[in-house]
Amino acid sequence: MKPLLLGIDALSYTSFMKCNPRFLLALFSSTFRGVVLNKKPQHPASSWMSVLEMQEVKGDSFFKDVETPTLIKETKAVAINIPITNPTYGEVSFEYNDSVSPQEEISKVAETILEELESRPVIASITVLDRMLHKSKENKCELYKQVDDVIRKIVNKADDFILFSPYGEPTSDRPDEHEDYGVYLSTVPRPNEHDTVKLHEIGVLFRRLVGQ
Amino acid sequence: MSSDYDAELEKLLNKKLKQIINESKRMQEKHEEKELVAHLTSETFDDFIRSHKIAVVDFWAEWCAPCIILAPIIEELARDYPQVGFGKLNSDENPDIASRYGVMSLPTVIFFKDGEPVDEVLGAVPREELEVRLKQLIE
Repeated sequence: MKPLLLGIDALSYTSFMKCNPRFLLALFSSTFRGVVLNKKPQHPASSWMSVLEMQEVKGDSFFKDVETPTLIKETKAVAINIPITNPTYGEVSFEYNDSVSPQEEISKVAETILEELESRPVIASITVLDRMLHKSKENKCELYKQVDDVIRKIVNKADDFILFSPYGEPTSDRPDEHEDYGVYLSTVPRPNEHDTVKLHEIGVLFRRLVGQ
Repeated sequence: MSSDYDAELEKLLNKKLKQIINESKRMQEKHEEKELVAHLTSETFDDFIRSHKIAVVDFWAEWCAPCIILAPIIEELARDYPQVGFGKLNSDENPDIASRYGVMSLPTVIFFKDGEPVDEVLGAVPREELEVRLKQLIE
């Protein structure tokens, strides 16, 4: 199996106690972990582009007509549902709003990741938490359960992975306002033990993982 | 019939007014949330623990994932026990205070009574574990 870079936009440690996502908590206890730091404004597109370009990228809207990002070129990875454009970029592409059901996105993304992972590195995103929690947090723990279940399915098949969120949960209905702290769980340790993980470092770590 | 009434203008003004009210509500909520758990520094720490009969201080750091897990539990308790002073202190930025209380691992929650440390809990623990100690101190 090839390495996997999986982003779960808006996944937050602050909901781990409340929602008790069993598999994520098991990963938390058994893998390398860290905190992703990304201060406001945190738009999905600029946050993801910082990972894919391995340097800080600013912006407050989705990109139009993007060239193949550096990390994808250099690792020859397949991109799946990456929210740098709207609709999302890659093999699977959905509108970045609440029109797509959680189940529809989760099952299509998981299916494609599992198909592709056998032959090439995968860079994928599951956007459901970010898309839905900007509107309402009523079903948060139900969404966490669905995300937790699919992560179990995917990560159990991957030998090497970086699972991260580029920022925490939405703090308002604006697309660029989230908690500053995201999740980092991986088979590779964070760059500095006593420091947060920066977005561009995630791209560098994945490139190194593919090069091994 | 002549009239100064302009329906379109009134609609725009109402929309703007709603926006201002919502923004003000949001700022107020953010302000209240910030105040719920005081962000302490080396300069404010001593005054804080002395000015509250019972104070609970969460020693944390940005890179510490269990600290981020614990943060909402501390906020919940602060909301439910307004008679207790809740604070958080960044150990990286205020190492003098952390070393004064022998904080070696994060998160560490220290309970103070009359300015003196009387109990502590290490790690990201469930709410109940903190609450049972808090209740003992209050009673």
